[in-house]
Amino acid sequence: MIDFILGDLYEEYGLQCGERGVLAARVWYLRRIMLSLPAMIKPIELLRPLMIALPLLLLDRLWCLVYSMIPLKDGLDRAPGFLIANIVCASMGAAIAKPTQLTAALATAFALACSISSEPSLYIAVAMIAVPLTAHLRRSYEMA
Amino acid sequence: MPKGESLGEFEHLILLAVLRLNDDAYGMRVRREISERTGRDTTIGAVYATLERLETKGLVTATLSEPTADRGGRAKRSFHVTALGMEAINRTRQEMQSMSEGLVFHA
Repeated sequence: MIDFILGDLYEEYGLQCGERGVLAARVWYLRRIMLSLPAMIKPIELLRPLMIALPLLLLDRLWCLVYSMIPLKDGLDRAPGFLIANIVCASMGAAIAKPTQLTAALATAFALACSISSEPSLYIAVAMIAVPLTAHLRRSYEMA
Repeated sequence: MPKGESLGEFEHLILLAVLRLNDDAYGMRVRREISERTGRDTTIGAVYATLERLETKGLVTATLSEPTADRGGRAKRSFHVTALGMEAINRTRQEMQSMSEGLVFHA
């Protein structure tokens, strides 16, 4: 649906330029993009990366627990790169199975957030909101 | 559509707009048609969400066109009212007429 909405807004932006001038049309366009975001990013789209990343995150925590029980490996942390690589691979697989670029981008952002913080919930929330928002604003800026 | 299931107000407006626009009914045109005729400033997202719901109910069908430059290289999705959709429009109109009959509306 995102493509159709953006296509329609782009077409109407052209009409608005003729009717109201370029500046007013740009303001109109950006406002419309913001208003259309809830329709473009369905809640399920936001949940999908969580569904991909969460099992891998739990698996990573499980490995840490197992490591802590082996005397020679106690105190060793698994490299965050493993977690990132796992989630990025799973995201790519999900994107291939159901071509949603947003899922891959969000899951990657999720993985990065998890790797840079021991308390990732804030980063996850920021990433899940910021990534799609930035993508749409960038696209709208390019058009305007 | 099961008997007795009426259209919502916005669904009704959208169906009428699609009918008016004939072969040129897609999100932006539908939105502008409603805006010009009713003065309602609806969002394109709301229009598409309703069109998708109507499609699920079998009241409209959608066709996809090739991407064009005036749409920034994006495809267009045009909608058409089905026989079931026409039936729903007629039923809603009859219900409205029947409910309004004999009433005096004061300004």
